[in-house]
Amino acid sequence: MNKLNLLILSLLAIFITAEGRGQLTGQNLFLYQLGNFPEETPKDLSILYNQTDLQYRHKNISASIQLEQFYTKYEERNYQQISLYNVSYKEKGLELQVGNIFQTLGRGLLFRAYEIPGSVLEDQVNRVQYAFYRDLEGVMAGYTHDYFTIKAIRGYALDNEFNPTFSSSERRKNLVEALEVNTHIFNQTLGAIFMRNNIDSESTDFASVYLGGPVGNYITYHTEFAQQLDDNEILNYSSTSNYAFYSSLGITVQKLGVSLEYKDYQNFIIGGGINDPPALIKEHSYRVLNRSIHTPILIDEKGFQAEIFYRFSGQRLVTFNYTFNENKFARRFLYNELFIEYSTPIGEYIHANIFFDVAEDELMNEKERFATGTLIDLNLKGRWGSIVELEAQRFLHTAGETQEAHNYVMLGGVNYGSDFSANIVYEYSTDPTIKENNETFKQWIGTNISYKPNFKHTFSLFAGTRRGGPSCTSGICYEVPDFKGVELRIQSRL
Amino acid sequence: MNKKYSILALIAFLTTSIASAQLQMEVEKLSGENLVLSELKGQQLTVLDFWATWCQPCVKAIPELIKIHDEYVDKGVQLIGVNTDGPRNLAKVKPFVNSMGINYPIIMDTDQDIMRAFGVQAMPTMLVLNNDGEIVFAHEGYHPGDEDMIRDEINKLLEEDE
Repeated sequence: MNKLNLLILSLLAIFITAEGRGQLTGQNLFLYQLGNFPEETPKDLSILYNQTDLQYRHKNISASIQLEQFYTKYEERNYQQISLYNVSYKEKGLELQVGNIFQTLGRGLLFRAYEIPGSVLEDQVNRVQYAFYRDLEGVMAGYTHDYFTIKAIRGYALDNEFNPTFSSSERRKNLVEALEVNTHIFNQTLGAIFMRNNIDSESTDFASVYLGGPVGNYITYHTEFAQQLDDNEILNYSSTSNYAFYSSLGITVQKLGVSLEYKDYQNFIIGGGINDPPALIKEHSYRVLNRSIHTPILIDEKGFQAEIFYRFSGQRLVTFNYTFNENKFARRFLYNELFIEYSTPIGEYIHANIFFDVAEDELMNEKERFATGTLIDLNLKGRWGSIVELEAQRFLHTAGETQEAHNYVMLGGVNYGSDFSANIVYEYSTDPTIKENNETFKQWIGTNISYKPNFKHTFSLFAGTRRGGPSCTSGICYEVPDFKGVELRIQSRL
Repeated sequence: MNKKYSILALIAFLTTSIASAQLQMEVEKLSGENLVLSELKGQQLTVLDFWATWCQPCVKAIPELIKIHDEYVDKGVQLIGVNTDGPRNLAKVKPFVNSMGINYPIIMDTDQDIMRAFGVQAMPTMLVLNNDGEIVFAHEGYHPGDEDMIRDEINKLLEEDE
């Protein structure tokens, strides 16, 4: 904390002595829950979480800070802390940062730090809630020129499996040191990364090379190969090596867009999971599909993804996605999925999305998985509208005795533009992995009300039961618990 | 801890005036070109639309945003799309932008630096900035019909400017 005091005082000195003043912005997220996991007691557990973010920018200097507070009746779970701080200086291509840093090296094969703004993660074992990010606490220096870029980082990476009640040394075991250099010639970028990961007294070296850029106006590509250097020959592609290979190709022909990607990841979990290579699995926003997204297993994962968009006249869009994935552990596990979505206005007042999905996920013991659904946005009168969402999924669960399982989602609501909305969500499932004891099915029903009195405040109220499970947001997948009770969320822009 | 909060309150007190600092951010266009955000800004207003390929309401709003851009670009209003896709979806961005026929500039925010600088917490979020870079209007989410309200706000802000 001494370092932090010094930083705050330094900031204060900068602000006081600066010529003129800068821009201060901020946001606050207040969350109150009264309730619990449906099967747990007490049923009326009261939880209060608050997150304040402040950013200050003056000419080339910016500074930010995040404060978090969490309170329940269990004192050992409570905390209040300055979670993030950052001071950066940028001028004419030069960039210096100190504090909590969010950076990606290459496409994340070696290192990626990220933040999911507005999301709150819950440690389901220790029942602590906290902001959802994975950062590097340290320093960063970079320089961008017309023909080259150089970037160096050094710091302790956060393992966000550990909630803020754990000590910093438990949460930040990986000391990462990395240098990325790339050159831009004829619009092509050729780059190389060297990274050393230190845990306790052991260090492991990694390197990566990549090449990418546009070819004319309508083709783009990127290809990257990363490898652990210790005890391995460079560009070793054998079955015992530790490597990751990723390649993508994007093509546009008038209103047709095509994206093709290939991956081959082997023995490539770095430290506490500081890397985040592209998953090549479609990120769905439909609830039944979002829960079924495959999470990459970097021990042995190969596959490809093809996505095609075509825009018809009249704002109609069709999206086609095919994903194939293979994991080899004791045996070969396949994942493949075909997804088709059609989005179209119907007349002046209706917008509809319809999707079909066929998949097989051997790791999750799911075969013959079919899903379909629709999302209809109806403009009623003026800014008043209505939304209806219907989704259904069916699959065979093949672990033990084969069982047929179904998931259904029904949502109906009204809205006044995006300023006010009220909806009811009903979910039903016969998935044997979530049913308990002698249950034949599980169901959840909840209501959501959201109100924005002005552009600075949003009030959201949830009451009822909410289904948890795997969830993916902004390319990051995590586990969300079931909840039964009332939740109030107030987001403010300062 | 109280001491730290007091110091923060003092910082807030000392720095409450507004300048065009955020517009001085260095950003990267979809084409790979690096520039300062102010080089893209409109003469009167700048509209930042934070979006991602995986975000359904964002995608639904894009045809309406293209219309808004075409209507207002000659009136000193510049629409800029801020793409927030991470490495997972990055390969899809350019084919998607071309396929949708997006004709306003797209800047990339893979590490969410721009989101953090403008305090964006939801997708889609549209921010309207005045000439000083001050946020004069913000809108989160998208439902059909929202575009009319956005037009009303832009018209109102343009009138205030005159």
